[in-house]
Order: sequence, then C-alpha cells, then structure tokens
Amino acid sequence: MNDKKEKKEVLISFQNVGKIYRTGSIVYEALRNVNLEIMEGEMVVILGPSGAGKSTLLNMVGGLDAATSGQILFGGLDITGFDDKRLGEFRAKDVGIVFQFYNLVPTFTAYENVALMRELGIEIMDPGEALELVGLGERKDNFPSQMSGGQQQRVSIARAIAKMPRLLLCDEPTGALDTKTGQEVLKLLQLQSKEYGRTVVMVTHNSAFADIADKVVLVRDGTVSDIKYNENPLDAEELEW
Amino acid sequence: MSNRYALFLTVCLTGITILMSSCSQKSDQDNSSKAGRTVFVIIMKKILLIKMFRDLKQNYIQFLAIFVMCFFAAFVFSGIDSPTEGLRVSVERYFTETNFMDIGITADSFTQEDLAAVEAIQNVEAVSMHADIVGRIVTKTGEEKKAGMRFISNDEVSKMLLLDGEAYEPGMTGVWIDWHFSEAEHFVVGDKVSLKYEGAYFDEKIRGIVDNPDFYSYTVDDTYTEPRYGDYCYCFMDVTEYPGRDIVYDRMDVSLTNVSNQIHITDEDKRQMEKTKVDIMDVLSKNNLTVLTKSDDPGFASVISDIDFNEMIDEVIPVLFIAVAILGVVTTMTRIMSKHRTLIGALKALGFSRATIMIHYMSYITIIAFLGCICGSVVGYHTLAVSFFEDAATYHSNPYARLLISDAQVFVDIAIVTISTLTAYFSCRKLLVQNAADILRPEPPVQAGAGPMEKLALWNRLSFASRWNLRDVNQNRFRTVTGIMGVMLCSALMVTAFAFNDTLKVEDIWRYDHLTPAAYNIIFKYGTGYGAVYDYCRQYKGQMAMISSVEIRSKNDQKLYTMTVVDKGNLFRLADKELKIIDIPQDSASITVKASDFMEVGIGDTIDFRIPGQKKWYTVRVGSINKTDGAQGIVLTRELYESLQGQFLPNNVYTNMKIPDSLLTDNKEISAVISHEAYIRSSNDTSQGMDEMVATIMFIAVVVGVVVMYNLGVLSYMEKIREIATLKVLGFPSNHIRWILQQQNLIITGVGTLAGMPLGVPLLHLIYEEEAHDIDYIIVIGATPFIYSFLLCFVLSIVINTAISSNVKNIDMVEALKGVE
Repeated sequence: MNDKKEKKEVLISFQNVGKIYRTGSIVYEALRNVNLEIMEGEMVVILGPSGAGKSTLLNMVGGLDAATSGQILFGGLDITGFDDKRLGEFRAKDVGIVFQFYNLVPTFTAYENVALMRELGIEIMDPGEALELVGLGERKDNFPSQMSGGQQQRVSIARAIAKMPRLLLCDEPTGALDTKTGQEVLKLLQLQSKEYGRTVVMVTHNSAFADIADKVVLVRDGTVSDIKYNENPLDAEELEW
Repeated sequence: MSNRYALFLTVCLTGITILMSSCSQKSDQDNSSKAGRTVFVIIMKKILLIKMFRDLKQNYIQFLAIFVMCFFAAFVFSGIDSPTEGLRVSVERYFTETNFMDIGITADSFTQEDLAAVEAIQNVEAVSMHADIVGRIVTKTGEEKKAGMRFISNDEVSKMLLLDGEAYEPGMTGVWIDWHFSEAEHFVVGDKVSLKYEGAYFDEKIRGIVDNPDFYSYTVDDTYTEPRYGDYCYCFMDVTEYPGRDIVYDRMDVSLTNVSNQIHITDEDKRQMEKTKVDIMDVLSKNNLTVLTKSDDPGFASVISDIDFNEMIDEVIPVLFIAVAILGVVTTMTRIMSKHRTLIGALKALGFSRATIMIHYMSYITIIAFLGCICGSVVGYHTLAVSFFEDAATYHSNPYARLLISDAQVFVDIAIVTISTLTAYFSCRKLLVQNAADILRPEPPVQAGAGPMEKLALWNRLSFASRWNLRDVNQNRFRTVTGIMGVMLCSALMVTAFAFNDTLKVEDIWRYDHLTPAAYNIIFKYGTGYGAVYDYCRQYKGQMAMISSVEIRSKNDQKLYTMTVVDKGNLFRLADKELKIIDIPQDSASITVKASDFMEVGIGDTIDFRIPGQKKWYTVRVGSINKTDGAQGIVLTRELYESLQGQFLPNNVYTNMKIPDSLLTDNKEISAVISHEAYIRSSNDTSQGMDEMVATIMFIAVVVGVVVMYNLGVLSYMEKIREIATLKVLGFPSNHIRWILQQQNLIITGVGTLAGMPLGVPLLHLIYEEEAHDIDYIIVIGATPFIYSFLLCFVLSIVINTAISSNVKNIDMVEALKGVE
C-alpha cells in the first residue's frame, strides 16, 4: 500500500465532523473532529475495531444520522443542513445502502424488494435485470424467507444498485455470511466501483478487505487515525480470510 | 360482597398454588440436588418477579388492553347481574313475607256472604277483603295530594310490610302510609295527617310506615301512565275508619294452600290457580267481576319479565367481551413469547425449569386478568348496577331491593381468569416444549405471501402498499382476526346504541301521532254509563272506545290481555307489521303481534275471548295482525262486538277538540284528561332512564374500540418497525409510510365495521324483545345508526392509527435497524 493520493473529483467531504450521543446524564463522543474526503468512483474501506465509530461515520454519510458538529458535503452540497424530507430524497436518489442483516422487506419477493423504489417515482433499472446482475434472475419470485443469507444480501445489493446511485454504502456486508458467499458479495461491490464508476464505501472490522479498496480509512476512538491507498487493489476473488 | 370475593380470591390462589406445585413436582425430576435446587429457584424466582414487573411496564399497552377487556367483561356482568340477583332474592323475600295473593278478585261490591263463599272453596287458605277508594291527603306544606286508601278487616293476604311503627291489628285506629310518600313528604310515625274523600275530612295518626305488594307497580289513577312513587300516596286503615255509612268492598285477595311457589310458578301452580279461579267464578255472580291469578297481575308479571330479561343479558353480553379479551390474550402472549424467545432460551439454558418459566409468564396474565375482573366487578357494582337499580326502583316498590353479588358473578370472574391463564399456558407451552438450544436459535421465518390471492390476475395490478398490507394481514391472521373482532364488537354496540336512541324517539311519536292521533284522551271512571260517555263524545266530536282486560283463549294457550272495542271514527288506528296504517277489520278481530305470537294464532284462525270474571266466551276470527307498542291484545269494531252480543261500555273518548282544564275537576265521572303533549312528556320521562343505557352502551363501544385498535396498532407497529426503518433508509417519506400503515388499518376497520354493524340489529331486538314480553316496541332502524357507527368507527380508527404512526417521523433508523442484530 502506498500513502499516495489520487487526483479525482471529491464526492464526499467531512469537515471537522463530530458526533455526541447523550443518554440521560451519560455523554458518549462517537466521532470527533473527522476530516475526510472520498472521491467519485472510489472504493473505500473503513476499518476499525468495534466501537471505533466506523458505522457512525457511514450512517452520517448516508443521512441516517446527523452530525453534532462540523459539515458533510456531498457533491458540494452540505447535507448536514438538510431537513428530513431532503435527506429522504437524498437517500432515495443518490445513496444505495447494503446492511449486514440485509433488511429486506420480508413480505416482498426479491423482485418487489428491488422494485420498491419505483413507488417513490424514482427511475430505476429493470428489477429483473438488477437481479440478473447479482446472479439471482431465477429467484426473483422468492421471498427473503425462502433464500439463503448470501442470496438475500445479493438482493439487497440489487436493490441498492437498481437506482444507479452515485454512492453505495455497505455496513459489514459480509458479516453474516460464510467466506465463499462473502467473496461473491465483495466481487459484486468491487464491480460497482470498477465497472460502473460508483463510489463504494464499505465499513468492516475485517482488515483483509483493505486489499480490495482504493482507499483504506482507519478509524480508532472516534477519529480517523490513518488513510492508506492501494495503487493496485486485489480482485475480490483473490482475497482470502 | 366481601365474602363472595374472599371466595374468588381463595379459588384463584388455590388454583395457582396447585398449578405451581404440580409444576414444581415436574421440575423435581429434573434436578438431583433438592436443597440446592430450592435455593436456586428462590433466588431465580425473585429475579423473575423483578423481571415480570419490568416486562409489565415495558408492555403496558398490551397488558392494559387485556386488563380493560377483562375489566369490561366483569363490569358489564356485574352491572347487570348484581341488580338481577338483588331483584331475584329481594322479590322472593318480599312476595313471600307479604304472602302475595295467588288470586285477586274485583267487582262493584262484595258482601260478607261472598267472602264466606270464597273462603269455603277447597284449597283457599285465606282471604282478605278490602274497600279501595281514591281520596286526598294533606302534606305538611298544606298541599293536597292524591291518596289511594285501602280499608281492611284483616291483613293476612298481600300483607303490609311494616317498615316502621306498629303492626296492624283488626279494629285499630290510625293510618299506615306508604314509605315512598312518607319519605317524600317527611312524615314519620306519630304524625297526624288529614285525609279527604268526597267532602269527608278525617284526621288520622300515622301508626306505621309500610309497603304492600298489591301496590308493587302502582298508579293512583289514569292521569299517571307510569308509577311515580312519592307523587301520591297509598295508605291503609281499618274498615271502621271508612268515610261513609255503607262500606263498599270491591277487592278480595286470595291465598291458596296448594300454590307453594311465590316467584318460580310451576305449571302445577298455574293449573291450581286456574282451577280455583273457575271455582270462584262459579260461586260469585257479580257485576263487573274480574278474577285474576297472580301471573296476570301487571306488577308481578313485570318483575318476572325483568328477571328473565336480565338473566338473558347476563348470558349474552359478557361472552362477547370475554371472547375479545381471550383473543387479546392470545395475540399479546404470542408476541411476548416471540419477543422473549432468546431470553427464554437463555433462562432454560441457565437451569430454570420449564415450569418456573411457564409460571412466570402465565402469572403476567393471571395477575392482569384477576385485577381486571376485581376492578370491573367492583366498578360495575358501584356504577352500572346502581344506575340500573335506580331505574328499576322508579317503577317498582320493594323495600328489600338491593344489589347482590351472585355466585354466577364469582364464577364468571374465575372463568375469565382461568381462561386467560390457560390461553397464556398454551401460548407459552408451544415454545417451552422445545429444548434450550432450539429456543436459542432464531425463530424460523414465517412463510410470506398472501396465499391464493396472489394467483388472481388482479394481484399484479395492486399497489405496493396493498400487496404489503395484504401479505402482512395474511401473515398475522390472528392479530387481524382479533382486530376485526374488536371493531365488530365496537360497531355492533354503536349501531345498537344509535338505533336504541332512534327507537326511543320514534316511540315517543309513533303511538300518539300515528295510532291515536288525538289531541286529548278523556278517560272515564269505572262504572260510567254509556249515555254519559256518549254525551261527551258528541260534545267534543270524538271517538269512543271501550278498553278493558280480556282473557284470550286459543288452541294453544290462554292469557290475560287488553281488548279495545272502537266506535266509528279515525282517531284510533291500526298499523301492520311494516307500520303501514290498515283498516280495522269489520267482521273479524285484529290481534297484536305479541299476542298472536304467544297464542300462536294467525290470520284466519279463531280465538275465544271473555271479560275476566264473566263465564261467557265469545268466538271471533282473526282478520289482521297489528303492531303497537301499547297494550297487547285484540281490537274489534263496536258493530262486531255488539253482533256477538257484547255490551259496548265505552270508557275512553279520543278527540281533537280543545278540552278545558275544568272538565276534569268539574265532572265526577271523568277519571283523567290526558293531552297529546302529556303523553309525549310522560314517554320522554320514561326514555330518560333508557338514555343512560344508550350512553353506557356507547361508552363501552368506544372504550372497546379504542383499546383493541390501540393495542393491536401498537403491536403491529412494533412488529413492523424494522421494515419501517428500512423504508425510511431507502428514502420513503414518513407520510408515505404512515399512509401505508393507515391503509391496513382502514381495511381492518372496514371489514370489522361491515361485519359488526349488522350484529347491532339482533342485539337491539334481543334487548327489546326480552325486555318486556308484553310490549311490542316499534324498532325503527334507519340508515342513520349505520352511518354514524361507520363514521365513528373510522374516525376512531384513523385518530388512533394517526397517533401511533406519528412515531414514524421520529423513528431512529440506526437504532431500529440495530435492534435487528
């Protein structure tokens, strides 16, 4: 890995971002003074131990959580000033999110889960095609309960990419999967960055995943402790853990 | 009350103890070290107790719902059963202690020979002969009020019930006055009162304050259409106090040796009374003789009817509430067990026995149901029961009347607690039969999909929200059914309440606007001759009618009813079952609906009838069946009645001409002049008691609706919170999500309301049909009750769902999705 920055257009910019949680008299500082830039089309892995603040970072990029201080710019727009409605629109149009536990709507088939976004009038690719891309064309009429964890995660990815978002956020996407299935999922995510030029931000505690990223952000005790760059990231298929 | 509930408490505690000990025996087999196990179990049970209270706090909406349903089941039962039990017990005591007559005889006059003749009849135990007159009594403020005076020579049958003062002995001077009047006018034993009768004034000392069963449902004269105790007086004096030289005995109360039951009259009792009645008619030959058994006595018949009605309500209404409560218990317990699955697995893995865990979870429901029943019973006893009791007390005079908690109340409460506990037991058992490892594994996912619906062509055209909701409904069928049942009960009760209210209004106007559309009704005193009535009829251009008691006999039965013989005119009319005005048949009789039902006769059949006390039976064909909420019986034209050799003796004149106030006071033959307005006013007064029932039903409907909808709404919301958070993460606006949730709510409300509203109709009929066997209420159910009920259910539902779904806006997506992990 090299400590070298590539010159690309900035998609996300964290400027002195802090996050404090208060529960009664208990105050917990989850993030403090985070400064970070994520480029367009970059594959970023945010690494850190449990409780380091990496998921908080991801949630704030996705507009799921609000910063207590500082600014987060997305494509030059300050999303920390967005109200609920604008944040909703932002998530609907620009961000695709993949969770560790898939979070599919259990009462919808794979196809319907992907087609969900049409309900909001958002233009998406054909859900069948999105499922084909993740290799689940044959399972489009299955409900989540009829699929394995890996298949559900692939549906989750299909749902996220179907709307062709600028940013794909993944929170421990392989956390509930076995190695082989996890590898397939990582391959799909890497493809989004390499082939489609999407920015992919993945949170994980597994340091092995750093090898497939363009940029590795190390988070410790609520702050970015280091940023590393891979000139030649590995293909997900080559990854072993 | 306390004894009954001590019993209830004991039974519940015994049940729980037995259950726990049986469970403990099972757990003995699982543990080898008894002493060690005991210490462990005690510590753990204390922990579980703490956990129980925390769980109750965390799931308070669900437990509150169970509490409320149990509360209302017990509340309604207690509210209806306590007056019923009190009525049954007190009436039995009252009629037994007063030796209520088995047969009552009235005529223009009786002699001592007549008395002796009746006493000589086989099986006659005792006879009391009285002279009844209506005079006036002067109150302490100098006001004169009407007083029914009874002069007696003995007090053996239909005896006075002495509440204060001295008991009557033949030959005693003084007066015994009724307790309602003494309370209203503050008379006490020892006071002097002035009495008046036809110019005669006599002062009497009050010897006692009494009640009497002959006056159980008493109006002093025809100006009162309903009893108004305290407005007038009834009193007793010895015959030696009679104001006049020649005493006119006009009533005999007869007690029989072979009629053993005062309240629960058997067929044999009835047969004996009828036999003696015939014997009495054989030995007495009198003008205007009337012989009635106690079954025909209006006061006695009405109290029996009340007891029957209340017992029916006891059986029907609580069942509805218990059913919804049980569904609530099943839904809630299933959810709690599912939510606590991992915890239960951990407890089992830690060494808690199946019995301990089961008792822990069952105790939630047992405690809640127990508290609900106790509170419901106590509150129902002190509110609803008191309301019903006070209404009944207006119409019936019984100093023993009070509220009582019956064995049935205790049984129902125990049943509710037991059924709830058993329901919880089966919900727990389903999970606890598995071993700890299996319980610790995540719950297998429920098969998604909406079943066969998805094969329909229409399915693919449904919106995203519709599909989601239909699948959710299909997956949570039990929760949905419980919701529908709750809404059904709510809407049915609302229709009943609104229709009840409409019916009360219609009744006010129907009889007096349509059937007897006269401005005035002049009622003549008993014995007024035809000529006098005819003169008034001509003077006021009215229509004459003869209204009297009549015994009707068919192939199937025989009963006392009312006969109305009408002269020509259009101020007394009949309506058919559909309430369309029909002509009075010229060559046949018209019979009222209830009478035709009881006698099992229809158009074309023949019936026999006679004036009570007369031996001659008249036979007539039934030409029509008419519906009236007035007196049940038969209606004939004067021509027909006279053609049967009946003597037309009119005692009512209906007229639309203005009647001066002086008519009543200046003419001795007139008993009452009642205006159309007075009838409506009286009817309104009667309806006021019913208004409380309407308000009670409405209140219960709203509470049931709110509790069930809110409980299930919260359950449903909590179950969907992950999906809601997911949708929010995906960018769905809060209002969009709230609308999706609202749709399911509207579907359940719609189905529940549509299924429940029709049930309101039989419920209303049930109340009316059973309330009085001899009153045929005009039940008019238009569209209004349905529209109001429909709208109100939807308003409730929308408001509740809006309140619950308002949380969508503030949902913490990160926390909600973390919860999944």
